[in-house]
Amino acid sequence: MESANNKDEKSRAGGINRRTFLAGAGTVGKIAAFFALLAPFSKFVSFTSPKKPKFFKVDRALKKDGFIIEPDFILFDINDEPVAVSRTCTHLGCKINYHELEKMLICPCHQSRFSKEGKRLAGPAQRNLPTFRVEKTGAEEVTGYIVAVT
Amino acid sequence: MRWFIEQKWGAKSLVALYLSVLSGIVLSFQYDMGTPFYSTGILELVTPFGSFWRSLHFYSSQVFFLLLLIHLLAVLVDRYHFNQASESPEKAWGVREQWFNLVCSVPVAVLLLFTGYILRADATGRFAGVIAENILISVPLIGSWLNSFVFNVTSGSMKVVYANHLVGLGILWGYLAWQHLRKYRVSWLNNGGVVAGIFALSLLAAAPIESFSPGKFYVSGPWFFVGLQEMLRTIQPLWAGVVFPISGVVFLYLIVKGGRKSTLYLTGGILWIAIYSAFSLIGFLR
Repeated sequence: MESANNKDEKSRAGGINRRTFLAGAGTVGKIAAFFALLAPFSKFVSFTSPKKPKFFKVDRALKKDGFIIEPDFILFDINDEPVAVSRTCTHLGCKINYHELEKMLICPCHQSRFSKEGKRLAGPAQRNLPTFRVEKTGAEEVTGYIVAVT
Repeated sequence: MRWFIEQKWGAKSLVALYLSVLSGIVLSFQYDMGTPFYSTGILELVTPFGSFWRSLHFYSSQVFFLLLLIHLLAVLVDRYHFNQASESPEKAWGVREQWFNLVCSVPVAVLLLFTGYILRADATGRFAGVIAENILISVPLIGSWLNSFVFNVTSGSMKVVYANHLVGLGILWGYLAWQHLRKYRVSWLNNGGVVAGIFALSLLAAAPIESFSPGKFYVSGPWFFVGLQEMLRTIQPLWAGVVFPISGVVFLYLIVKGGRKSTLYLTGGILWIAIYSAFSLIGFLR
């Protein structure tokens, strides 16, 4: 009968014994666990929680194809529906203004351009402008709007 | 050239800094960071001598920064052009022990000036603030963390910027420059021309402030920011706003500390200035 020592010696001759194998497997396991947790960890940490919406009341109705400028958004009438577009440029955060003649939103800092729907048209900004949820107020006739800015 | 080098630009700059600090302390008695734009407007239009103190702070700070740059240029020209020891270039630089601190004090001075613009909270100030904040956030991994104690303006409060402008950056600049400055005593009388010039400017021209205009489609940043603003049209914020400015500071450091390759770094520094000037020029012409 072979002793345990003899088996170890045989394994050593082949370049590996049980202890080395277990230690190696442990290291591989740790690395695998690290990589398995990396994505959940980084996605969890880098996630930006949606802001609690702030509700803004607009006390007048939009005219046909008209617009109302507020500090955080511009409210447009597009096909008889109100659309609230954020005024914060998606490039570097400057406050965007609406150019009536060109019918587009233009950032005064680096001249990114967006459509009335918030779609990026030109300039260094890479993303569209966010739009906010709008609810009409008034019973039969629209008297104003409530905009949920997030 | 000799005349340019022999002027005591550093002393003139320091006198302007003294005026800036003193006028800043006076302004802080009335400035309210809770309503920054309103407060600046009240200072400018209602508070007795408010416009004068604001102008004095604005112009003394501008003169301090400009003279600091001229002082730096004069020292470099002097050391490099006239006093460079041929056997060991490093020996020629009289300030080399403190050079790292002194080089770091330049961007801190820029930030001091820059936070002052943010605090007035008009269109230029607000946009400069959010742009700087977004540039800082673009730094991988630590951007948001850095921003939380440097700008943090979109949180709706000026308290971080104000704390840094009033105390944090001032102390940091003083710490970085202290070894250099403690050797010198500057006389107000000997620099009377600079003092008189700053006072005259403050009495004659109000410090700028812009009204809010919803129809504005172009807002230009502070004069030293225009080149960066222009770069940001075409270059990613991390490269234009972080990597490029840091490379300028690194060149400045290596011009002195670069040993035998200092000429190469000097060329790099000059190229850096040329690129930034070109972008600034395009911005000014808009």
